[in-house]
Amino acid sequence: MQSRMKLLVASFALMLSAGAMACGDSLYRVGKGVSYRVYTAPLPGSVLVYGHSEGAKQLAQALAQSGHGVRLVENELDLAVELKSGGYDVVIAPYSDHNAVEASTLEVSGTTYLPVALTSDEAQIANDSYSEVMVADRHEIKHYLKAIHKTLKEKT
Amino acid sequence: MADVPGIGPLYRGAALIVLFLVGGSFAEPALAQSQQKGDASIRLEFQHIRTGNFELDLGTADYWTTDTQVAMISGDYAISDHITVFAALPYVRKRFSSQVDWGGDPHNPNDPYWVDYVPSDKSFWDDGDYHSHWQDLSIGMSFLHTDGPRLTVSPFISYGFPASDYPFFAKAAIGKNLWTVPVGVNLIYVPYFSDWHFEGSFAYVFSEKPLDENVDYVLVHLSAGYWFRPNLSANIFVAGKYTYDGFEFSDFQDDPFTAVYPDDYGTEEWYNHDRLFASRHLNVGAGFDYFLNENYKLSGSGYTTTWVESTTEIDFAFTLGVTRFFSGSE
Repeated sequence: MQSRMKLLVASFALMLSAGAMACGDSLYRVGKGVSYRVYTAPLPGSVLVYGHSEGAKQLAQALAQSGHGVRLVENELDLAVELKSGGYDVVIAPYSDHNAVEASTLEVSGTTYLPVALTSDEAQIANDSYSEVMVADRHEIKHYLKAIHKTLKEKT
Repeated sequence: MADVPGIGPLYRGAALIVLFLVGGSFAEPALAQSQQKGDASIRLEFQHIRTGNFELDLGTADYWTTDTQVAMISGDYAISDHITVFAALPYVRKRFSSQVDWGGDPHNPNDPYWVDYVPSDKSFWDDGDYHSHWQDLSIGMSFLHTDGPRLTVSPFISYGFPASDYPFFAKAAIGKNLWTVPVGVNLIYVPYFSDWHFEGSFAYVFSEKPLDENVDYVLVHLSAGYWFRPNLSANIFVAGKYTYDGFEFSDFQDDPFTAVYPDDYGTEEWYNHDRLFASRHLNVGAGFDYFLNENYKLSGSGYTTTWVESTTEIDFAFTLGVTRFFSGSE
């Protein structure tokens, strides 16, 4: 999905006059200024998110809004089917489900697994097997985007 | 998925963040382009400015203050995906306040020293009361040359002209009563995966020439901001003005050894001195932008002067504004 994820930033912020000071004038600025924050994916990729929680849905939605093509699957069967179909650059799934993910991704080359650890302790364990591990209670959406970007950049 | 109950908390960290991103009133914010034909905004802003010392080339004049209150309405409309027209009209009230017993040098065009030259406008605004008028109406156009996502570049041109014939010979004058044509560019840089954003505005301002004197100037505005939340950003900024030509205070003296202020200043040049001064300053401040929802933004800032030449320092100033956005896709 190549969405038009743009940061709604100022179209202009014009200084109409400046001075405030001689015996008149004020510094007036008009324009929209910076708007709300939306992260943008510089390299849009294809991402599979595995999970059925509200958080997983929102993660998928946020990744999609940043410009990635995202598919959310909620059970192991769909996960296997999607991974076997190929075409995904990254799969994001709980580290506790790494066996299920590995079982499917082993058959498909080119998909990088980005595990999500529940705790720092679990992340330490996961780090022994994976170079990039997200930690649920520590990492924000921008960290997920950065990790995905790193993966995509390595692929290219 | 054996550990179904664990899936929820597994994404808790992301979910909390994502909730910030997409929750609340931001239903589909990111689906909008940075600019679409029909996008528009209207902004109402209030400013209060207290000025203090006047820095001259001959010293510091520190015997009066002014208070300026500005109510400004401004707006813009995207006539295409790349071109936006805009306008702004401030209503300004200002007063002069002496800080000394001898009166603080109010500028009075009715003073007896106006003999060789008689001011055309006899309005006396430095009587300590607030005086108000519409100041300068500005209209302009900006072009969205580079549309992000990291770098946004928007050249612009505008034309400002007095919306009323307000007096300019007064410490409480609300402006210079001159037309201006600012030509410049706005730059916005937002690094990928970052909560920081940086803005820069640069403009060369062509000015009407009082007494045929070049008083064009350069404006610079630089800011660095940080999003604490998707809808809350704070920034610090510097804003400067530099007039290359123009007059210093000593230029108004015919003879520096004999000129006595103000009796020997009854000239057309002195009547226009606030238009002719080579005013230069650097202000620093901090501000915020807070989106109440996708249609309304609350903005505020405060600033003060750190460096000044041939003009008055701002002791403090603050602004508060509300912007209403209209989407062209609605």
